[in-house]
Amino acid sequence: MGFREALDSGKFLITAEIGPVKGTEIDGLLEDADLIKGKVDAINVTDLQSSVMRLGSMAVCHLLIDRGIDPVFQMTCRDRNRLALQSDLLSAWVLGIRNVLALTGDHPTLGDHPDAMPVFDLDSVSLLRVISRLNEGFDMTGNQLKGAPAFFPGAVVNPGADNEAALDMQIIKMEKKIEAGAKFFQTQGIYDLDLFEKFIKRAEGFKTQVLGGIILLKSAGMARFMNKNVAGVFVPEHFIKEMEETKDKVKTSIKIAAELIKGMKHLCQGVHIMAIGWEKRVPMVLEEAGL
Amino acid sequence: MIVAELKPFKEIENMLRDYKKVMVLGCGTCVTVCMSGGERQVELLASALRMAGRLERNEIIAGEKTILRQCDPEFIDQIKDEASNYDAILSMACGAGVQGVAERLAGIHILPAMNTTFIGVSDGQGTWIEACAACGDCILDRTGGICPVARCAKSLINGPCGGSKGGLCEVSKNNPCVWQQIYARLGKLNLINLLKGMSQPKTRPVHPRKLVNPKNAFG
Amino acid sequence: MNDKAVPPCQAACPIHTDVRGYVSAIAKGDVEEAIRIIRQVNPFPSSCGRICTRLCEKACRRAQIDEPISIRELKRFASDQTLGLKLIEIPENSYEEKIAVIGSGPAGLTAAHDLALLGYRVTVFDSQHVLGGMLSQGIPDYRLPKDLVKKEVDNILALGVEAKTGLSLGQDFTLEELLKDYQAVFIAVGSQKSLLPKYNGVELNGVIAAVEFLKQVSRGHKPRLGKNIAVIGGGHTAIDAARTSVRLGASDVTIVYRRTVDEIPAGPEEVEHAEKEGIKIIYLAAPVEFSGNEKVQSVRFIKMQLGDLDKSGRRRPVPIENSEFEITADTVILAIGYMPDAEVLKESGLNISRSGTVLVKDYTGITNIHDVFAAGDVVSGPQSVIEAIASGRRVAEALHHYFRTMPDKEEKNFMALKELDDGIVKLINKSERQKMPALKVEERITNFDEVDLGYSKDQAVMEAQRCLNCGAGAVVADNCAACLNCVRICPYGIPFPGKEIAEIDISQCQACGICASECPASAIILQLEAKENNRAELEKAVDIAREETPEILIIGFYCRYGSPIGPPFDEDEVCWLGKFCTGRMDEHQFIYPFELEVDGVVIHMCKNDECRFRDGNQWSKSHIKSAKKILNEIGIGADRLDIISEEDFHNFRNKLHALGINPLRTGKKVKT
Repeated sequence: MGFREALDSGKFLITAEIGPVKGTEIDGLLEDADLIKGKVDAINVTDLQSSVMRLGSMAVCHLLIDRGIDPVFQMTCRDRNRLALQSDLLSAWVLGIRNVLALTGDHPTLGDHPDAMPVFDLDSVSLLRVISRLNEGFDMTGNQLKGAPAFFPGAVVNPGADNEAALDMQIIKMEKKIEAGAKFFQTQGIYDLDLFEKFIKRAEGFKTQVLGGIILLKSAGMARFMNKNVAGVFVPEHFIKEMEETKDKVKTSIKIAAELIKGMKHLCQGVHIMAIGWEKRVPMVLEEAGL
Repeated sequence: MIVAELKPFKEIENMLRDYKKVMVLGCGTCVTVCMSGGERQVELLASALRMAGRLERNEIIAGEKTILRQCDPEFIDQIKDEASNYDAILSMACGAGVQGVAERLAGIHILPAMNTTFIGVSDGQGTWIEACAACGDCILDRTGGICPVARCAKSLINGPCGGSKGGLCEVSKNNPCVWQQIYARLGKLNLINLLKGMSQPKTRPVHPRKLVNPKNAFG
Repeated sequence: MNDKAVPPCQAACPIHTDVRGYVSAIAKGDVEEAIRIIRQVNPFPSSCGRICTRLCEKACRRAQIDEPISIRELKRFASDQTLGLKLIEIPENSYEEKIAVIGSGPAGLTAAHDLALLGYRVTVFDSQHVLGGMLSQGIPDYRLPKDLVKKEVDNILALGVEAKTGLSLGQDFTLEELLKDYQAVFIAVGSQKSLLPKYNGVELNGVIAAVEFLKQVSRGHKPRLGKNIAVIGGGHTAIDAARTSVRLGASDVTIVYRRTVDEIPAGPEEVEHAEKEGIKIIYLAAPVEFSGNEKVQSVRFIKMQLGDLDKSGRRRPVPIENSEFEITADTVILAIGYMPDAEVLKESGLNISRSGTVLVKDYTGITNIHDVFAAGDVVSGPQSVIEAIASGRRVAEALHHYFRTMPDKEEKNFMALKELDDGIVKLINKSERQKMPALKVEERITNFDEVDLGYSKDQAVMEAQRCLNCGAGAVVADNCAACLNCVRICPYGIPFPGKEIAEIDISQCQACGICASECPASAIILQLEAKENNRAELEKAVDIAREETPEILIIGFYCRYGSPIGPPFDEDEVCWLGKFCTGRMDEHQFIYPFELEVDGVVIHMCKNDECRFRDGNQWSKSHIKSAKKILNEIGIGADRLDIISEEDFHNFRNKLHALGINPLRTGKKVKT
């Protein structure tokens, strides 16, 4: 069962995420994917995550398909103008890619090529529209396609926006993304279920599918770093304390993630697990969460 | 107004290595207003160049002059005769001004002392901020008079990315997230609804652009 | 806008002395420049520096903040410090016309002085044997020493003015006779005849007129007054008579004045001096009768109260019924009023007013007799010395125009800058007026030594630095780019955006110069301290220092307000230049010395909370930081420029010596 079918089936969805390497050495990456395979409904492949130059998402997605995994092709607007974006979408389709996650993308200055031209010719909303148009058999300017794709487009949302205005705008933009064709949403990492519930309540009327984000905590230090530097992520003090005091970080991390997943079960339609190097531990998390 | 800033001194010094007589030419409009290329800066740069030249055993004569606008040939003509005494002109104008002078005084090598940075507005004492990207496709009617094309690091036109933290931009952390500002402004105007409208991808200009005022440019 | 308005002090001064000019010269210790400015319009600086009625101080805007500048004392300081200085060249006799001046008071002598400078031949006639009029005879030595007046008179005579003394109009010569030898006659005989009240007993012995009394004393007489003295009147002459009586040994001196202390014309300082010397003052009382047997023994007074305003704008004193009282008096000195000696003038054929003054056409002094002019107290009635000097000046100029058949000069209108706005007043630091050192009471009441001792140099400089430099502030030139930086940075919020350029209300500007130092178009000119002057001053200082200095030459800038007396500390290697706030120094002023091959530049600033102009320190630091960056880039090195205190200087010097001489000098001859 592919991701789209899983979603349509109404089951609690599970996606995970892998990040391509910088270079051509892909064995480890594929090993990780194989470990998760069968335990998740899809695996996201990031698109030059954090603006660091690496192996491309499309190629890795294709490799995953070869291994029987349904990938979610992450596509950012950072590096491609509207010509390249559309062309790459068509290329992805013919390589067997069905799910696309449309993102704005990080700014190049945050990565390892800070002087790269930030393209942002389109934004995530217009990219979703473009995907919808391609699905209808037309390109952006209305030219007919010879053979059209049928992508399953998704988008992201940040429920943890740290002020009222920011959250309001996330909701407004979420609505725009739905209007532009987004069928599912994967969220930023969630640690506060009360806040998440509030967000879900606001998005209830949108009748869309939300996969709550889970970032595996590796240490108290990582939690603090994220609190300070990652927008929309807030790890409460009691989790930090737990990570600090535990003798077995992995065990505690898995316990916390599982706890959060259990809490999300009745709030949203699935979870998206960002293991950030701990991909091998995703099965344990799922086991602990009873999935 | 065009905002420009002085190039690193070493870069200027290198540019001038082969010249003995240099006219440091200030511009009396935009770069004077943003305090980077007006008469006072001309005096400072000329003084610095003379001293640096002496230290390098490459003594240069650095003349000081400022005209009202380097983007208008008529003002450039005011220095035509004087300029002929120099081997090079170091223009402290924006890129347009440098080209204006180069066009009019084609026999002299015109060198840029500045990096032209943006079209901006004053943001209080000694500060200017980028405000217009000259995109040629203005959407300020929908954004409460605050331009996300110029003031969002990613030029997003359909709302913010998810990266803003504490109301600040994730890319340049000293700057406010422009979408937060737009939200606040539209809120004051009771126009939050404008945010829900879909902004179409922008049309892109073809360079070089040109403005012809037909009633003025006949014949 | 008050574009052409002048500082209120200058507008108020009858001769429109450039007060701000000389005060600011003293503020930087340049006494010669100060006296030159004063001397341009006033041949009596020593006298005016002591007894001027100082309309300038009444107008001074510093009073809005605390107290006016002691302008008169500063004038005295400038003049006392430069007594030996030759300021005026002896003029050439350019014209044939001879002019007779009758009366050698301040009006007559000023006219003689000005006419001589213009190139006329002038002869001054006086009925007395001593020149100077009331200056030399009417004012006691303890206020105005005679030798100083004599010096000023001699300076005037030295211009070639001829003096004929002991000759009175009417008795020894007539106008007709004079007009045979002279092409014009200027009558400036003053207004010295005492008015006597018509009370019973005024004819008694022992009832005397103050002016005559003072003249007698000034000629060296010591009239016997007795123990109890009553002085009637409230002008300077009344106080002079009372204080003179004390010095002649009277033990009980009482001044009786018909209005209150607030109206007394002599002013609060004179009153204070008098009271300290034991003189009683009875206000709100007027005499009704003098009684005694041949010689006066007592005076009966009636108490007064102030009623409606009179013509002079003061409240008229009105007697209170049944309030009479008596005081014992061995001598009564009347100092009530004076008028010209009308009879002589009338006999000379001049048209005379009811109050005995000579009638003239206008400020030119033209009388009804052809070629005869009059001015000073003889025209105006009793006025101050400075008014007399002013009238002398006007007549001299009018005569010159008359002889040279030039059209009458239009009276220049000296409009005063308006008051400081309340908002600005609040932003200006308070600063106490310097106290005038004076002889102790016991040291002065037995003699005629001058009571006020004059400011020390430090006091004078500090007092002068209180001056707000009204109207000498920032002026925006046409090349203003309207960047509005000045609008944003002025610590007083004075500049504002005009239609085309930034505008600065000169009446409110405090002349801190911060806007000028920050103007990117160099379009703001600080009148007080022009850019060219700064440059020239620096170049001169470097030239001089270069002659005498050893190996390393350091230019030091310090704030004159912070260190009014002079450089903050002495160091052989440092050549100091004082600035009125270092905040007004732009970056170029810090790097230019290096272009002149100076080896190091130090800046001694005021402490943070001590800046006269609020933000000066912050701007100094910012400009220095920026200049250091430039010095670094060009390879001279940022370490050669620093802000220092006396304690840091040693470190700076050591560092500088380690760095060696300015690299621009390398390869050139260096003295070792």
